[in-house]
Amino acid sequence: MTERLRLSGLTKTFGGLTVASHIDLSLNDGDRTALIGPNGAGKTTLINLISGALAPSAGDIHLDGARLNPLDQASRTRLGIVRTFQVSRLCRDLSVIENVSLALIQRHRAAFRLWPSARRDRAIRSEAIALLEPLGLADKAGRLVGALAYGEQRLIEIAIALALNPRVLLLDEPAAGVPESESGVILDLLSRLPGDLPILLIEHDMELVFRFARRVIVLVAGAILFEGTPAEVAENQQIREIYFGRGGH
Amino acid sequence: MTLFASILIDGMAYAMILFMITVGLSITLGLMHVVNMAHGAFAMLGGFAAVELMSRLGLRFEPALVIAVLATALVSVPIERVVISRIYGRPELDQALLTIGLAFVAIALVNLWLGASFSSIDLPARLSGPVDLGFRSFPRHRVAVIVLGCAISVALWLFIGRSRFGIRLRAAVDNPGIAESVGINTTLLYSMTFAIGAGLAALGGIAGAELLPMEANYPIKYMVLFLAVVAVGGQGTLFGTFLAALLLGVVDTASKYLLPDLASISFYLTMLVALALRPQGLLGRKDAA
Amino acid sequence: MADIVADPSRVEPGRWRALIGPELAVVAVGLLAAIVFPDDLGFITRINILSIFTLSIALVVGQAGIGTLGQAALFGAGSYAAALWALHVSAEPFSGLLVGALAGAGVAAASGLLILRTRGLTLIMLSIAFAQVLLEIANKAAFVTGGDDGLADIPVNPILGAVAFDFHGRVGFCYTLAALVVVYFCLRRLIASPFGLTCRGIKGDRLRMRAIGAPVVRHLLCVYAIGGAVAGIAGALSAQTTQVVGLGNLGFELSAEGLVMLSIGGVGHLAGALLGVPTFMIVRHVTATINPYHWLLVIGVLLVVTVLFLPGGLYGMVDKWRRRAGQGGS
Repeated sequence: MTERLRLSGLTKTFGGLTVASHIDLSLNDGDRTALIGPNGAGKTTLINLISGALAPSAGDIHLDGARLNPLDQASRTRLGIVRTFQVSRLCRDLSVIENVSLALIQRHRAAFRLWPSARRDRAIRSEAIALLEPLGLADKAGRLVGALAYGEQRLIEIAIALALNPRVLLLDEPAAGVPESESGVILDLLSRLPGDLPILLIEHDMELVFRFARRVIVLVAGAILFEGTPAEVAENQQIREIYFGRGGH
Repeated sequence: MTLFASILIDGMAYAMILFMITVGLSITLGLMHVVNMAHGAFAMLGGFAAVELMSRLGLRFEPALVIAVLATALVSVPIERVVISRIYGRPELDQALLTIGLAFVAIALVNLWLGASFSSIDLPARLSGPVDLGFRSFPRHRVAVIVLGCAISVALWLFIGRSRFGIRLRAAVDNPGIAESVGINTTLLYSMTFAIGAGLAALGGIAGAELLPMEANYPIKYMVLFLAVVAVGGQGTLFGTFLAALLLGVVDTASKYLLPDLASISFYLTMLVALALRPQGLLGRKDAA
Repeated sequence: MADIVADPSRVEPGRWRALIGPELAVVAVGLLAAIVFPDDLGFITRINILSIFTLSIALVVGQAGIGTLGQAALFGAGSYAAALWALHVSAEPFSGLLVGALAGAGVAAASGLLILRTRGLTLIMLSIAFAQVLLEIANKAAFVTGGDDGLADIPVNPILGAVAFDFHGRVGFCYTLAALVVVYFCLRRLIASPFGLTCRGIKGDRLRMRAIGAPVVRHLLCVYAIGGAVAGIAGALSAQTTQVVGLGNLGFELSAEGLVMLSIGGVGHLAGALLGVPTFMIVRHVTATINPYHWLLVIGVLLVVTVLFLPGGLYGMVDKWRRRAGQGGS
């Protein structure tokens, strides 16, 4: 098992408020790790720190042994640290395939090609269709994203992440806001992600966590409270009290 | 020393006028997120209303001023309800274009009504001529404007800090999503804020007519000036606007006294440097930039 | 990319029509106008030049979402550079266009470093302030720019050493029309490229673009410089055809007018610039001769109506009508 991502002593404070406190964490090839914790525990903050949207107050981030701290968000994405957003961030005025193509263009370093080329466009187009096909969205490729159902937008969010050829995937509540009837599609998609890709998943839906994750990390008030298998987490009385409140939800 | 005192008095007076005219613009920008390029039209409306009330109806200065300010505030309500409210949440570019259009319409209408020439507001004897402040004498008008501006600032500060309306206003600026859900009537809040801002602009326009003379082109001529104060101050901040008005007002006045050839360039350079260093404005919050 | 991606059927059957159809339409309309109104060639030439200028705004504002009100700085830089080049170095017209383009791009790149990191009102005010500072510098540096009087009697050699500019403005008209068509073609290709799609992505959501690894500010700097080159070409054309350059070429009114013309035509499409400029110019020509304030009333109402009821501008209206006609026919 090769280690991909390592966080050591990662800390972030806003004024006097500590939102991430000495977090040590590593993600290896094939990891399926879920990050859970009550609202405001600092889960999304952690993803922002790893992806480079926020700068840590202390601590280090390494990818494949190289220190990432000085790199900005765009550079980290180019190295393969890819995140999704809790609330879909898509270009609503562009079509589905254009949204996916934007990511492919970045991955192929084609964003500064100033003249269209029929061959390159065809290649990008077929690659985008290949990503949309398994999601059942190929026939909606030409539709504007803003006109799609929210569940479908969540799928596009993941398709964009995959288009970037991630080495580490950070999923921020991929099923948030999706009606229960459609969340099965997302779980299905998650289970079909490449087996060796290390994934960190933030999720509130415990059913999804238990079916997806092989390791669960419980984050409370910015610090790691517990780390273990889903079964261990489910049995831990302290976590049940803090996180599940009165007997789970 | 004399020069310095003149710059200080003139600069302060100019700053107070800028503050009165722009504070409403800043607060509506912070609250409703509308870039209102036509805000100067309210200052013009107040100014011309005062001129007309005095010359046609023979009113004295003070009642004319009060009626003009109230009338401008009143007129702004249907404008906000019928036109401006339709562009809440639209892209800034749309807002800028629509309100520039409103400014054009205002200019054209004022021109049809009164013609394109300058109008001056005749100040009563109490407010014209010099006043002796002990160490030397100053134009009475400038001193009166400074006193008025400071009084308005303090009153606004108390009003926004203490009154129920002010508490709701600040809550709505800080948490736009939450305000509605805790039962704040944002429609009423927006209309009232807009009307108060328009009224203050009218007051500033009348008080400042000696420095920014009334003419039909007023809203476009001073549009950049007013927006500069708001941008440099930071949208939605009372003190930021006050500081920005002071900075730009004093810099502009000082350079007109000291480097008349470079007055315009030093104004724009000040704005450029201020915004380059603090894109969100002097006291603006970072996410607003 | 956009035309292929959005509607694959559009490319194959009428390939040539898709490739240069709009340019042919511009040539046809331009020539028709010149034949019907032979006495107004100066006016039509001005429309050609302002169309190029407004195309640069359509690229920067409409495609990349850079809400600037300082585009005249780039137009003025191009016109002063081309004028000085013609006065002091060479009166060959194509080299003048190149110099104008470089000046526009250079000024855009320099100012872009300052303004493109900001957004919203701050960006608008910074772009205005930058243009005003440039105007004041041009005003004070009279020994180079002629100050308030501007530069006059700018020489222009015959095009390719063969076709001299004539008194009637026929050559000037053809020259600017050709420039318009070339610029329009290049910009249409540009926005159909991966670069153009990325611009629209940045306009749509900057945070999303950062998260997919796009160097947002660098990309904006690049598109702003290209827009600057186009505005610079328009400025150079203005210097060459009118043979005078004045401070008005750097003024705020020009920036504002360009944006107003674009919004009337339709912000989101390059064709919006080509519809908006003639509409604006003709309506102004007609109403302003009656009374300049009537013109302000007309343009003010037009702006309000456009923003409230025609968000896509004239182009959006034409497009909707064309689609409806297309559906009815098939």
